[in-house]
Amino acid sequence: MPRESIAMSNGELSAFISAKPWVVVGTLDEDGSPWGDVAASLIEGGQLIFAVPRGTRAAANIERDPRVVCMNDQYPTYYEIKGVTVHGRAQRLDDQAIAARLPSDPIDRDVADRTVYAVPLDDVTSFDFTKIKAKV
Amino acid sequence: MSDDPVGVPIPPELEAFLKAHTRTFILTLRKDGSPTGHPMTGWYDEGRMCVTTYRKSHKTRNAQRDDRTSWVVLNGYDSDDDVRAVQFKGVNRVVEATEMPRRDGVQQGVSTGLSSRTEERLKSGKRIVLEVTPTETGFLEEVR
Repeated sequence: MPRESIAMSNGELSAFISAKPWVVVGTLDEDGSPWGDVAASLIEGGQLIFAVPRGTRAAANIERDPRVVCMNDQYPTYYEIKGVTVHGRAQRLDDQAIAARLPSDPIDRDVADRTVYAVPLDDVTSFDFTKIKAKV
Repeated sequence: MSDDPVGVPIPPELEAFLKAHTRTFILTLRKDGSPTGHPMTGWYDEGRMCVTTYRKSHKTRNAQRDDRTSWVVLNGYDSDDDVRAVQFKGVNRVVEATEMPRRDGVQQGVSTGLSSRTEERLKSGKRIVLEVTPTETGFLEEVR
């Protein structure tokens, strides 16, 4: 019997990420190993938008190699776990209006100098454990 | 738990944070070298971070192909306005475990039934323990 799908629909996915003010961002260090940071985020125009402070290792990594992964999850109880993981190439955005709509940096609320990037939502994995609750 | 690569020392404040928090995002590498990520519940054990996961999972296979990793541990699920995080960058290792390891700090949402099911699957070999030995670590506000 095929496994049931617990993936989110596109609408559920957008709603989930829109409700979160940040994502964990994975980038690649110079030697190709992964590095993680936490970045303010929002959804706009079918893309995930995020911002990293200039001068950080994540910012330098993206400028050298734009391949990123962005993710968030929630865990109120086991059968309410949800999570989204977005893979893609970060494209720099120079749109001040979008930058102004981003939440503060989650790690340093005072930082103002940030670089904004967009990632299309076309390589996404997601899980929503509420979709298996009925069978338990 | 294992015969062990030696990681960098973990300062007391960092260790206290890791013992108190289990929300963990594991970064591994896909076949093409791009980063991918896995939200998990982790625990701290004597200088390493650990999770249990399926042997056939993407994260296990990624770790077996390329052991370079970074784990980001956050201060819970209700702290969107007060985020604190630790970077735990290092080397992943797949460890066989026939019984549930002691998982200090893992409580939230994990029922007795789920724990016993996980233990059964460890015994049967369907699940393994994935652990990272750190080569570099610190609070994000200090190391980013």
